[in-house]
Amino acid sequence: MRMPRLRNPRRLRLIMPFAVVLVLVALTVIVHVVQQPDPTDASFLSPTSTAGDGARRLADDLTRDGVRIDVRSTSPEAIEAVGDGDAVTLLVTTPELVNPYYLERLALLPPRVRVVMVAPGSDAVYAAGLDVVVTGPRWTAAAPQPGCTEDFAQAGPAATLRWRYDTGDFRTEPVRCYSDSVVEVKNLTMVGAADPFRNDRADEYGNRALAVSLLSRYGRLIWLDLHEREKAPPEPTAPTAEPDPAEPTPDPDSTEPWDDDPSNDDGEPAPVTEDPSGQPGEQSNDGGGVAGSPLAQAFPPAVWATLALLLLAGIALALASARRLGTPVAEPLPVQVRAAETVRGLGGLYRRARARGTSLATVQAAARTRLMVHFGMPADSTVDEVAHRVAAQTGLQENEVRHLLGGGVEDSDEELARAASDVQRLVRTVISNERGDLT
Amino acid sequence: MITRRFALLLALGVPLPALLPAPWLLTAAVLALALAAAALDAAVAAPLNGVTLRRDGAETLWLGATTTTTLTVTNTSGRPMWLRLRDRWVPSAGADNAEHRLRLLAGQEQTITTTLTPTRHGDRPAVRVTLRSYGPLGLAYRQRRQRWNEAITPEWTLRVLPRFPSRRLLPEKLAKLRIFDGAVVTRGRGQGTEFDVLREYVVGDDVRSIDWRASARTHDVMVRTWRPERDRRVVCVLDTGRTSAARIGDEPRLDAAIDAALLLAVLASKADDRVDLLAVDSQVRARVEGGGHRTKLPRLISSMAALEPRLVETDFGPAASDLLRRGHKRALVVIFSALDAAPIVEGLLPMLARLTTKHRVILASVRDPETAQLAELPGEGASADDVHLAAAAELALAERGRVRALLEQQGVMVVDEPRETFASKVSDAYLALKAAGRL
Repeated sequence: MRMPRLRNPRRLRLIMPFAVVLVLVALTVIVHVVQQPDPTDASFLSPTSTAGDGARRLADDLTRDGVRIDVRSTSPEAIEAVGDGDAVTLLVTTPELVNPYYLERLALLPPRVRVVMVAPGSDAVYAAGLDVVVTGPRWTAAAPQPGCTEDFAQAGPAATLRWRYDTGDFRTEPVRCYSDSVVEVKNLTMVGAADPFRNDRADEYGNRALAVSLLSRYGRLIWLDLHEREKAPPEPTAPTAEPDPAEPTPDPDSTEPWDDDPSNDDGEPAPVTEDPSGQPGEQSNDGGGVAGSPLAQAFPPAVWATLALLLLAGIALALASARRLGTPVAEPLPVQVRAAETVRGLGGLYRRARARGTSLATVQAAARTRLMVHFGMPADSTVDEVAHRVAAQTGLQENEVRHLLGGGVEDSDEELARAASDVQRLVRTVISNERGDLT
Repeated sequence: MITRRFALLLALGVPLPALLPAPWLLTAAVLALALAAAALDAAVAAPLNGVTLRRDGAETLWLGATTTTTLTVTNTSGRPMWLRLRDRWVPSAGADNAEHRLRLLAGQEQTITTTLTPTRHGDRPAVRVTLRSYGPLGLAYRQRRQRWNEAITPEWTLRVLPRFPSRRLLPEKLAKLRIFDGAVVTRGRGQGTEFDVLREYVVGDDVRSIDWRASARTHDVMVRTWRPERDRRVVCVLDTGRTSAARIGDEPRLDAAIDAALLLAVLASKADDRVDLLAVDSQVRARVEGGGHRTKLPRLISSMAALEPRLVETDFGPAASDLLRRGHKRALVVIFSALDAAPIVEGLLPMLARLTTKHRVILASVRDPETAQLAELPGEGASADDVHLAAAAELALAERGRVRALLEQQGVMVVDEPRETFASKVSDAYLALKAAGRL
């Protein structure tokens, strides 16, 4: 009957620390998630929103710099708005919400269209058909040094590093800035965090300068302000039929007029589409090769089998030793208090308080009481009367005895010890009725 | 469940995969073989349901003595049984050889003996017999849950009676009792106030005792003999609160009180008085009253055995009101407590006036020699710490003196003696009252 009662607090003691840590971690994660801007909010990087995660200030800055901003709310509209005239920048604020089909089409736009994608994740990058390994996201955006000589890098450090884009051995040399968090591959610019574009972060580091210089390369900016997940095009063949023939043709042609800025990309759609298909194949080969790992091959299977059997024998031994023949029996201990516990406690308090006067007075009072009892004197006798009787019996000076029985103490421990010892010796001498020598 | 022998079996199989081809297959084969053998062994092991346990032996014991109890194990299952069992008692029961290995054929029974040397008085229960039934190969065993083992364990409690060192004083005290009881011819007649019998005058009898009317009736000189009052009531009130936990010498104050109370109880029973017991701290812990003379003493001893000090302040209120309400007859109330200010002054004093008018009250307290020792400074090399301690001890002594004076003022007899003479002095106080006919 006693066991369940005992076991519960014990279990609680075991669980509580872990539970507290778990709750703290969970709370932190929840708060972090809540703090993160949500791309499906209408205000998120919207050119008209003055909210913290809006981008009204950026839009105003760009307008002041003479950039014409066309806001579009769906990808097909944005792609259509590119037209086939001047060079144009296309800002995709929420690449995660853009349908993969359109992402692929964005990557296939002619080089005169500079597509800036804000914090695309690995899905978006993969859908865009780029051979880029995406790592992240970090807990918060870091602000690395630019580390390159591009125009936009003049802005200095900016909070761009939340996602990192590792371009690996890309066929054409891509632009890699800000510790790989701002990467330009062909006509696509990927910025690793939304922070440089946001109203509330515009003034931190070189955020505003970076965003403005990224988006004001050309006189026209198409701003894709998309806040809900796009559906796939209803009839894939019909819409693609129209732009598809348009794209491959400008692709090879357009290299000449616009290759001043996108210096690295030669715009080769064919190898790009091959690349992602090749990549997963390699990965699966790597992942499936546990048996073929060098460690496994280093020893013959007999060694591994022996080791496994030894391990099993060890586990069996542990299991066999683990079960007890009945648990130990607990029993409450008897209550025992040291004798004179309160006396020692009080003595300790006197010592802590250095109450030398009080201690000596107590010892003297006790001595006087004993002497009064010894002489048969009334209980209200004064120090003088007692000293008189003692002096008469012992032949000591009355003044001296009075000082012993009622005097104060100098402010030192040695003095106290000496005075108290003298008092007790006096009492012993008187009571044993001997003439002792008292100094 | 598997045994260590199972682990050994696996370990023996370790060289096989290294020496023969197809190592993994052999590993699996070794494991499967061992598991099959263990499963078979566990299946063949005798079921634990077929065990019956019976316990026998002493049920009471004086503290300091040694006794044995036996546990008879019977195999009622139809199979031979290899049994390992552990007979767990509470640690203070001082049980030795707790673990046993038995081999029982079907229907056979075997007796195991446990020697008990308890270290504390009170009830010392046998908590649990844990059984483990092995298979014939010793590879696996059956053992059931703790609750099951507790359920089949026969209930057994050893009542350890408190130490009674004052037993050796009993002959002396009984002799004293007999002297004034008149049973022993000393100075002619027994003392006391209660009329006993008339008998013929013999030379040496007190002439004041001659009953002239009876002499006239019988034509012979008759004397009255007297004897002490019988059938008086003695109530032992044991304080089991915090002051009873203090160690005087090697044992708590309560043990000294129990010893003295036992001596008093035995003595009073021999003198044909009725002895009641009341143990109180914050509540009433034991109450023994009424019942026949013969059975009273064992009941008293048995209830005292179960008492132990508790860290609570004693409240004498319930005990006192109990004595005032029920005690129609005048009684001798012996309160075993300590001369400490708090419980006495706050708890007992308010009711003392009413109590002393109705009953005769003795307060018995074991004196703690340590306080007196602390009050005395060492002859040589006393330090300031010693003086502080001495001052605290003097205060405690003075307080004890005050409490004592207060109690005596209220008409309470105070017995404040060191441990060695405590029980004797308490009995002497009782005998003196009895002799004087003042019970």
